[in-house]
Amino acid sequence: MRKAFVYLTAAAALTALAALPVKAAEEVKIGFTAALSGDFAAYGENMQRGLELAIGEINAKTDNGGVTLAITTADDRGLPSDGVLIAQRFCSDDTVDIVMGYSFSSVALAAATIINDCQLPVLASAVTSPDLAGVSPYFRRNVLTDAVQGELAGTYAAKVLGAKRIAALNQQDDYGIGGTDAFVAAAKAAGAEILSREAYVLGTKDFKTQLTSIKAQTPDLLWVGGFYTEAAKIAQQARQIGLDVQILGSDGLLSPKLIELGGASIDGTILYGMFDPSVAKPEVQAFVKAYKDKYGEEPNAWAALAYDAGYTLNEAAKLAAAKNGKVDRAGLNAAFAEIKAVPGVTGPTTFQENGNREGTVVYLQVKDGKFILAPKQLN
Amino acid sequence: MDILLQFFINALMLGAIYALAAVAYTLVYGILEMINFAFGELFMFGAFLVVSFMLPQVSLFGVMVPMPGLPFLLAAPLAILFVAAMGYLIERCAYRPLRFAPRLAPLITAIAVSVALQNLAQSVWGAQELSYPSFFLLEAKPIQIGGAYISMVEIAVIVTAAVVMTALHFYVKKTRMGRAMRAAAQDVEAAALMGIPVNRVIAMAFIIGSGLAALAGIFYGAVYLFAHPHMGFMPGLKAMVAAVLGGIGNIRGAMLGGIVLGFAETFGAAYLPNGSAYRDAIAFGILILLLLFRPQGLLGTRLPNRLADRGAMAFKGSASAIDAGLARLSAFFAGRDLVRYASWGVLAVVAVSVFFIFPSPYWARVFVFVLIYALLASGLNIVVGFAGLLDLGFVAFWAVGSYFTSILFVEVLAKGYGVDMSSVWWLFYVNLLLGGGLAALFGMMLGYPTLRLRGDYLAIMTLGFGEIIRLVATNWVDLTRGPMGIRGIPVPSLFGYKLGSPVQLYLLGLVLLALAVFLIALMVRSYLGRAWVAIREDEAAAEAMGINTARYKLYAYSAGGFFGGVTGVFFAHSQQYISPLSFTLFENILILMLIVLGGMGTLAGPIIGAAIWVVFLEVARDMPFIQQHHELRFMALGILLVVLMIFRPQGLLGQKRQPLMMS
Amino acid sequence: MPDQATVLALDDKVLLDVKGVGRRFGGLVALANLDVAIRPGEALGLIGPNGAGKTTFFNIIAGAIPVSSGSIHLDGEQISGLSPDRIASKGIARTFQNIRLFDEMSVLENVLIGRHRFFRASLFGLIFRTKRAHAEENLSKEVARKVLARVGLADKMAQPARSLSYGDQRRLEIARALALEPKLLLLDEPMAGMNPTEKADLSRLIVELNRSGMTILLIEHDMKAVMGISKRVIVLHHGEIIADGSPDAVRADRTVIDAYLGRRG
Ligand SMILES: Nc1ncnc2c1ncn2[C@@H]1O[C@H](COP(=O)(O)OP(=O)(O)OP(=O)(O)O)[C@@H](O)[C@H]1O
Ligand SMILES: [Mg+2]
Repeated sequence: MRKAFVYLTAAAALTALAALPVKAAEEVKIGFTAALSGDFAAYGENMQRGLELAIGEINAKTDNGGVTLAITTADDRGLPSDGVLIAQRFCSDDTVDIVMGYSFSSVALAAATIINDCQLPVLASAVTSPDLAGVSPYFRRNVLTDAVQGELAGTYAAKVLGAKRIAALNQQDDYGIGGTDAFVAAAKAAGAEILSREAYVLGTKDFKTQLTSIKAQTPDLLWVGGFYTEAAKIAQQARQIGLDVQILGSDGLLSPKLIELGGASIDGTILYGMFDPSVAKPEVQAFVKAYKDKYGEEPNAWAALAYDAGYTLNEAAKLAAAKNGKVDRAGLNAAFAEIKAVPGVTGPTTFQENGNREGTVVYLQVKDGKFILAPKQLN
Repeated sequence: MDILLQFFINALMLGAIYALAAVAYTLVYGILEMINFAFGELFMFGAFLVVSFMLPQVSLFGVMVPMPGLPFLLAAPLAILFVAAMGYLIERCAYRPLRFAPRLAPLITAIAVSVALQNLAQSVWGAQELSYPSFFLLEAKPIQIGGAYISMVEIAVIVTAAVVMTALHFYVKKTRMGRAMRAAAQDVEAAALMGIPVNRVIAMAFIIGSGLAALAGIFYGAVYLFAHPHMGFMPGLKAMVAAVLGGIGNIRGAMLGGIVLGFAETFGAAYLPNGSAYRDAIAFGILILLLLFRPQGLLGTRLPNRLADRGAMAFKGSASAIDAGLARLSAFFAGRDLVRYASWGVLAVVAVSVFFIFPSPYWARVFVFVLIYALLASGLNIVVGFAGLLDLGFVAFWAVGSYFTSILFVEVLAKGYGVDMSSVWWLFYVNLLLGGGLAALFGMMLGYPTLRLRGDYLAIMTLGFGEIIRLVATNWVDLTRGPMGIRGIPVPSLFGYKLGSPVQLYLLGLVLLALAVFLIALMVRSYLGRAWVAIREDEAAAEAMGINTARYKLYAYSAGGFFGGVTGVFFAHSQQYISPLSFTLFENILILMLIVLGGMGTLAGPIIGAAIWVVFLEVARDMPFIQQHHELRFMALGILLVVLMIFRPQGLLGQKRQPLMMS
Repeated sequence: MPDQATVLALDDKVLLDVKGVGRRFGGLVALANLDVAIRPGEALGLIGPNGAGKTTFFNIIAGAIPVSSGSIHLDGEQISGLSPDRIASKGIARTFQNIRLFDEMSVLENVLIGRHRFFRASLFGLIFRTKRAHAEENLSKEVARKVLARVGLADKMAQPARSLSYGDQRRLEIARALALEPKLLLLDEPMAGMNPTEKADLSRLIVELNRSGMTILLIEHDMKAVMGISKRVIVLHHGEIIADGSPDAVRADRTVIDAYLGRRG
């Protein structure tokens, strides 16, 4: 009886010891958060997949500067309030070294104060609000702001594509509004006329009304500042009502699902992004193949950016480990400021002082069910 | 002209889809007087199933499964049959046990079923949109009429809808079962007495209704070429609106309502300023106008005002063993005042010590949320729990309070007048009252048109209000900064001493909650509270006893709204950022469910419900299968509530009757 | 207005004056042109076969359903067209044929609902529990207790209404109506489903109430009980008054007998 008790206690103590958060000095734990349930879970899921793919590859390396990556996930449902809670959760969990993810700028904005207070670095992948620039010295993102994107696209539309009469549709959120504001301003500055601008709520299915009105305006270009889910429907329905117009879309369109959902109607659509799945570069092809093998679908912009974010984190972590012999929040944050031109499928990553990423976009076109590099680029 | 013709075609097609689904709502409502929220999800299952049957392989639960790859004309009937069977099962398992329960019970259960199904679909098919496989209707070239186009699918939708609804019309008119349905719709009890097999009739209504919803979903998917777990939610609400529009319970009315809604939405989106951003609000706007001026609907004759003999939520305990056990347990705690006070004391001690027990700011933050939800639930409980009025637009009050203080502090004072926000720290405390007051005013406005309505109608009407407020917050960018949200809201402070840490916010929230509960208790334990409960228990009898029910309902809305507004102010300052994303219908449903969980019409119920649920949500994050399938947290909630409704509808604390007198 | 003047001039002893009141439900004439004058202090019995329109008559008086034609005055003041709560506040209390209590409320709280029209405290008063608010509440509790004692439910005050026996529930309905201190009490088959002892008790109570000055209009199928309580009985048949007079006269009335026999045959 006694003996058994002793054994039991010993066993329990051992288990307890083993369970103690003795972090392997080099394990970098990512707190990943995004909308993973609810209407817009798809975009969060894309990011999670891209990131997890990168983590798997990195951890499989034999020599990675002694750094391994781990992940814990939290569903923020796209709610700012959940963002706050999750930020606090990651802050208080001192095994978490960095926060990644974020589907919506609102959620990141709500979380920013808390994350700043606990000095926890963030590397976000899909939030484009200019409000986030310089929001905290710990906040970074590897996506261009919607203002930058929109401006580039507006100039491209007027100067390169030679559009004179433009109709604009934008998703009614920070991404769609911000990008389209900049797009409209730049296109106007370059001499194009904006015939109309209408907003739709993310998740809208029926665009026939807007498109019918747009058709009557006889535009030569239709700008869509939004996501692929709606853009596919816009293209489909434009064809259904006999509206034949060049569509130019923002980087939210960059997803193989655009082609799958849009079918033949989407052919000819031009869009931009930082990631070109068609490019013959070996690392891009390797990524596309690995992603397809693992998840049975092709990666989109969300997945690609999150994938690159994983590698960017890895670079920073290796640098921090080399410098300090360990990876902690402060070291990691300092390292992010130092790393330059980390290669990736979306091009090299370098951060500006305000946490934005340096870089530009490439223009793509849908051709025969594939993304190709658009014949005309902005330079 | 072309453009008008094109609008006409678009509207007709959309209207036909709404009409099909609206008939489903109307059919069931006619007999059971219950709005089966779950039809929206059956609509979604229709689309998913037909896509699944048509594809050669589909990823189910993340595993590729080979599928028959049937042609559309085979896949569609199969999907419809499947969904009809689901509808039957839902009725059998979730609704039938509640046949004689109070009015709110089946409605809340329906909402719970709908939440569970939505999240189930995400687990099965994933979060991505599934694209519609091509088939002959999609491949055919659209027909051109002048400058307008109509696709084969659209023609198919319109023709099939017309045929199906005509057939249904004759079915109901001519067949034995149809006649039985009509008799049951007149008066279920009388029909039962006359030997009509009521259970079979009801089952049939569910089967046909589910089939129609599935058909509508299949078409909707085919027109917009996708299937998605949440695709049924909005069309479901719209179809419900269409059914009400036509006069609920009236089949021809539902068809008309669907068409009218299709036209209103299409032309409204086209010609109203910023119409396309507000298009979802159009349906709800029409609904509100209609209910104000012609609550029986366009073709309806029967006012939904039938004085029901059943109370709103006076639950009679069911006799199951589980229930008996739980009842004994709570009887142990209930009863004497001493025990009641003791349990309140315990609750208070637990609440205060929580942040000693969990010294992490994270847990303090979690409990800040417990407090916020407890505050909201306590406010809503006045309306739902005490006055027995189902309110699905309560989040609007929360939004009003939040936006009021945020706009005042950030947009007006700081940005407009360059005022240093920390110099007006006291304004936060004033705003608690003002924000509450403003929301109370909104409560009056929301309440006024609903006075003539009961139960289900009230639910849809308030839902419409809530959605409109959210859409306004999203689209009126100049006032609210729209989806960008308002940031930089100062944390509460006291004489320059910031109360921004989670523990400080927790303490502040605790004070607010204590005050709120105290105020609510004072109101409830007076003739005011008695009048509310009397209305809940039997509105006609309450009127006969001299209670101006309309006035007391308005009081309930304002009182509830007040606490919603106060919470909004606290919420905005504790979070320092707000955006319209917080004030969704789903949040409203969640708050409602917290109350059901804890026990409607008790003071402690909302608090206990909030604590259990918020803490569960957080703890559940770490569970391994939740890490893979986050949506399961909400599916669990849905299922829990269905079970609770059947076995313990009075909630965990229900046996503790709230005394309604001054002591 | 002329109505009122006439009423006062001709007979200032009419409490409830029903004039030419009719009510149709679709094609069905539930009440046809009724004229009834109820004098203060009267205990008037209302009888008639099933479906005669008795309950409809109550509903009309209480404002639960509107009149199709005609008017009703209480103490010379028109009440037809008012909402039920206004009518109740003017002093007409009723019970229901199918018991309608507030099930989840306690017996005492049910009766306190009857006191609703006497409460004046403002929200401020309720929140700060002013003396006046307390006094009001205490007074009403006092009255409620007395009323409950009077109907014999004093020992069940704290129970939820739904837990009462059938007879007790009927008594509670009466207590709730009494708490309203009505000028006119409408009782719709209060003895239905009671055993003989209970009936006798209740009859005694009604008689007592009437003696103490309350005007009562009583629907009851139990003839013996009605005859014992009322000095005047009105017989309704197919929505029309076919007899109006003393119990003995009514009992002997040929049309009345036919009406009841016709119903059975
Ligand atoms: N709300 C209503 N709608 C339609 N018909 C009604 C309504 N209320 C009553 N009726 C009809 O009016 C007639 C009179 O009904 P009422 O209930 O007044 O009879 P009653 O004399 O009280 O009968 P009982 O002795 O059975 O209670 C009946 O034929 C009844 O069906
Ligand atoms: Mg009757």
